[in-house]
Amino acid sequence: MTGSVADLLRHPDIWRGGAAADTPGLPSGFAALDQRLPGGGFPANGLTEIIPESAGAGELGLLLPALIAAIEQGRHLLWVAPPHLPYAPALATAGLDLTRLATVTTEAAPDALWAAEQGLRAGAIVVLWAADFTAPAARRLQLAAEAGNRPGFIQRPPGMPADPRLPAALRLRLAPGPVVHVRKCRGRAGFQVDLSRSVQARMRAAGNQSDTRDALALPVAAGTGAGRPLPARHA
Amino acid sequence: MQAGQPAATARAVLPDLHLLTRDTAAEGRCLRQLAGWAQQFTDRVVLQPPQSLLLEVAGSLTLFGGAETLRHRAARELSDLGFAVTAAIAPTPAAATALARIGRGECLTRRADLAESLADLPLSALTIEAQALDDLQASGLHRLGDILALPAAALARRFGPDFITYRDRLLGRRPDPRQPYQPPRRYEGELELPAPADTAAALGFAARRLLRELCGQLRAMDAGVTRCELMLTHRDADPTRVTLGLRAPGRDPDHLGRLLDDRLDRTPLPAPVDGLRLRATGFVPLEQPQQSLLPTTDDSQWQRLHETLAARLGPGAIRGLAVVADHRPERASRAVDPGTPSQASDNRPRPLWLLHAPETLPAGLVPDRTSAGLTLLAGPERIESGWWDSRDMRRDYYVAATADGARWWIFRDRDGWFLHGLFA
Repeated sequence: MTGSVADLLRHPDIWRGGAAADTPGLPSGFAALDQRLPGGGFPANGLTEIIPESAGAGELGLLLPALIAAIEQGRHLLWVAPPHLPYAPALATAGLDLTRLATVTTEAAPDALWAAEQGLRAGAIVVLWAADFTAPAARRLQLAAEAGNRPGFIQRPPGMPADPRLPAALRLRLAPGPVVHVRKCRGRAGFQVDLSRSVQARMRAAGNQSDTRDALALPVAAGTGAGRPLPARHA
Repeated sequence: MQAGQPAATARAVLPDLHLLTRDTAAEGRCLRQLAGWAQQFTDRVVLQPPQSLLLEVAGSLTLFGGAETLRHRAARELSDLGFAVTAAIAPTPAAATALARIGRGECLTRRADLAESLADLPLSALTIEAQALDDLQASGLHRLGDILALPAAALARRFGPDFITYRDRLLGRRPDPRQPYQPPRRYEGELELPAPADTAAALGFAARRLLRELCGQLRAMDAGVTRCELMLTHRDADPTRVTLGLRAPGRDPDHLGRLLDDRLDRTPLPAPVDGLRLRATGFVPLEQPQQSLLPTTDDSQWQRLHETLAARLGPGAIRGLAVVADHRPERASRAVDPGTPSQASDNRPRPLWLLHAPETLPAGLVPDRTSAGLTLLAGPERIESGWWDSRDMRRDYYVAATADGARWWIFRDRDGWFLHGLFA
């Protein structure tokens, strides 16, 4: 019976307050976050679920430093079912070696899950965008992450309520900034870290000079005239 | 029942007996197929129709861990391929043939002891005319030892000089040159199924026999393939074709088998399958890579992942991403074959996400002097193109912040304001 208790405690659904971090994590590259995450980073062979409060809250930027560092160690990235086009110039400017990234587009959610599972098992670091994500699917991916000894990141649709029944080693909510709300992590209570300063510093360092000046002066509304109705769709 | 019985006698004993006509042409194809497989052990393979192959393995013993290990491996692979096999090793081709013919899977390596080791072989093991065998047995000779004891002159008088030549070759006293088989640089193997099959599992299992043969031949030739085609034949319908593609030339039967399973899972069959034919052309030499250039496990697993995903989701489902030196935002990021290097990019502010198509900004968000919907943070950046690329465009791009702090890439052109990207 002791075996089954030990098994139970290893289950990703269960976390024990204050238990020592078991394995070193994959550093996020944000010191303020790494200091407080068990293992000093994202789970290195488990799932991190990321729920942005709105699209563009920093859900990719949060992962980039960790992904770039992993690539430098010879890893490969598989992005499954991204909702928009990952934009090569921005990724390259940030320092991500695009030759080690592949994206997978699928017709159906089960194919995306399957692809993510294959990716993890083959030792790739996987980011999966999944609207439908069930507990059995999460467990399959968790097992794949353990088998391949790689982290998996599950990006949920913006604003989706967190489902506490889903097994994930780490669950983050992202407010724009980004401000990271850690909702669940092994061995710690939830907490909150504001990364807005570090992200902007990084963007500037990468040459992405969108500094936070206050509102720019707009040129006077151009020739077509203000108040002209917007076209329904751009040609 | 006994070998050589007339069919009518056999039927009388067993009325339900199912008689099959021997297809010697098919046997010949099969033997050549196996000669291809055998190339992995040595490039000197000799066909001995109807049912034996000779492999000159003296030069391969070290590589394969010794004679006995090699013999076991060959026998195991052949029985995995579904053949009943006796594998024997001897210092001369005739002796190895004689051992295999009577089912003695032995490994004799000492030429000096050969005569002694073969002394108890029955004469039926020898490759001689039936008439000669009858004559020998009628003379009271039954074992090879009986013959070896006789003087050569007497044997030659009685059974002809060819018999002496054969005896000397058997014992390695005379050279026994053979013409090695030259396998073609393509593969074509076929397999009849014992019963029609329609499940992917059964077909995958059967097809692995052919894949193993193909890969054996490829190993032998230091070659790989990037494509092979499996044809599933049906009794009453056109054959179903399944093509397997690899990103890099390969010859791993297990990997090909897994790719095939995925394809079979998704291939509709008009009828049960009664035979398989595997074809591969375009053998590509696989040079042994320099030690320092050997791919890491990560790299080869990554290649395989592409193949696995493409086999199931279609070749277009898995793409890489590269920067293209093009000032038009939509053209600066391109889906490419994974691993394609990027062109240089400049360091202008660009969003991590680009929308599939620009979306009209809702009226409440249009940044004008009175609206608080969006705050412009950077810009304008004028991007223009003209008649030369057939898409007339003039846009002013801005980085803007939403009320809740998300950052958008928006532009204005003569049609209004549009959202084009997200700084995620």
